[in-house]
Amino acid sequence: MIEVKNLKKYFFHKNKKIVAVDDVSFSIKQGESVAFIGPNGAGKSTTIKMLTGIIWPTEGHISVLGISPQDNRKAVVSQVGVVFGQRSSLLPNLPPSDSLKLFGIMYGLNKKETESRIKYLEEQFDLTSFKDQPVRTLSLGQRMRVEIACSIIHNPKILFLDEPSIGLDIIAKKNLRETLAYLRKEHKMTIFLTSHDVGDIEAICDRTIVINHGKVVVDEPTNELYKLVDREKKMVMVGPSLEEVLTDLYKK
Amino acid sequence: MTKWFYYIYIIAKNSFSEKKKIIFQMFNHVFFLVFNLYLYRHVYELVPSVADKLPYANAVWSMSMYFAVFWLGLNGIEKVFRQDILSGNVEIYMLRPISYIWQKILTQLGQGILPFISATVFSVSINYFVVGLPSMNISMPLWIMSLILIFLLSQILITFLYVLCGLSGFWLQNSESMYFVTSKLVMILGGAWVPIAFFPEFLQAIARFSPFGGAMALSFAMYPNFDAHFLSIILNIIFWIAIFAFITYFVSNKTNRKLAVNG
Repeated sequence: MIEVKNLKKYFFHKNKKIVAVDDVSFSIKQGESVAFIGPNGAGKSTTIKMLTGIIWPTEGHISVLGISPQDNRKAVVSQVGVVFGQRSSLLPNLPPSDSLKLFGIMYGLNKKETESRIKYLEEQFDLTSFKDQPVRTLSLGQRMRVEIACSIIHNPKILFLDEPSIGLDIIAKKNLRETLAYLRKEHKMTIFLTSHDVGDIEAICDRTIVINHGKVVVDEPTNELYKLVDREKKMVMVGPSLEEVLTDLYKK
Repeated sequence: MTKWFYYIYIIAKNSFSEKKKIIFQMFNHVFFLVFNLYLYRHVYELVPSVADKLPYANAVWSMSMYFAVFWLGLNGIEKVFRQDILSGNVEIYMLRPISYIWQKILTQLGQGILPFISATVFSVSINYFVVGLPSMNISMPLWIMSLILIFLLSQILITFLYVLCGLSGFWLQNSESMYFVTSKLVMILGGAWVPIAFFPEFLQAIARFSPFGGAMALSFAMYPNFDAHFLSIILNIIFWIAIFAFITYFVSNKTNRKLAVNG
């Protein structure tokens, strides 16, 4: 589904070479949910942008759904969904349904298909409670749900998410994770996620690729990452985690 | 085709939510129209001989239509490109299966359609009631049909002009200097400073046959002898559209490789 071989990306600033991605290779199968994580500046977002055809690699080969995003960007983006947590694609003065309609037009859906998808997404993503409110009046968590709904209006095979939980409170994060888990389970959607939030990774991804200084340093099943740390557990947490406690407090 | 009209309609609906902004824009437009009427009246009284070159009514119509067309906002596309490039927002538009340029053109049309229609209604109404219709050598229906054709073609040309300015931002980082030069040439050769009927002969020819004058050819279409130049104006605009369409196609294919957006 996604094949990346010897991917490199260099940027040049005042004749100085900046290595963003350095010889990265991996492959992702259909239905997999993969976390692509690393510290700031590790090359996560640059890799996502190359996978979606926004920027061109300096060297290497990318194939998404059997197509090179650089050779045929439109063919790739018409079959994938992308959410950038730090950027909004929504129409601020109109209700979410209008943004969904606009995306329906862009992805070539006819009126009937768009309406049926909007109805389905409004129900599944619980958008009905604020469906008449302009987007600018929504909370960040509500907006993120609309962003994801827009990005999958065309029922894509792969969903790329670049830090989707940034700025969200605990409850909004929980809702986001449930939404993504639902998409994975019910739609067999392949998910490629970058996040600094460990909770996102634990809840959504069954495989984790760690990148640092542009290189892949770990590529393991998420539940086996603990084995990589050569350290005895010295403390056992009994009872709920702090995140669970805060979730309960926020709900009160 | 219908879906693009629907796209424009949704964007227009989003813009119409800012009613106060549109009302303020129209207040500005009416102020300019009235100021324009007063200023031209004064100039024509000071130098009555200018009426031999261009009658007062035609000069007023020419200038007011120049301003009305600008509300459509296609000249503002360079600024939108510049903001998207500098903020990095360009990446979210590149993720969609339609071209970045086309999305921006549709968005500008959606945002500009209501101010443009309102400004045109105000311009036509005020001009009609204050100075009457401009005197033309051809029949009114033929003139209006010619106007519509010139309007459509000149808007395509102006779009290409400013799209190219905006695309230069992928290389220059900031395309403002390109916009400055282009917009000033369009203003001067489009007759916004002084109607081109008052230009020396050779400058009139440059204005008529340049892409900058062609982009504002609607203002020339208000001149009484417009019928004598109609064919040359149309051919000039089509010629420049073809040239700029080719350059835009060539340049836009190179822009993807130039894009560098930080994480």
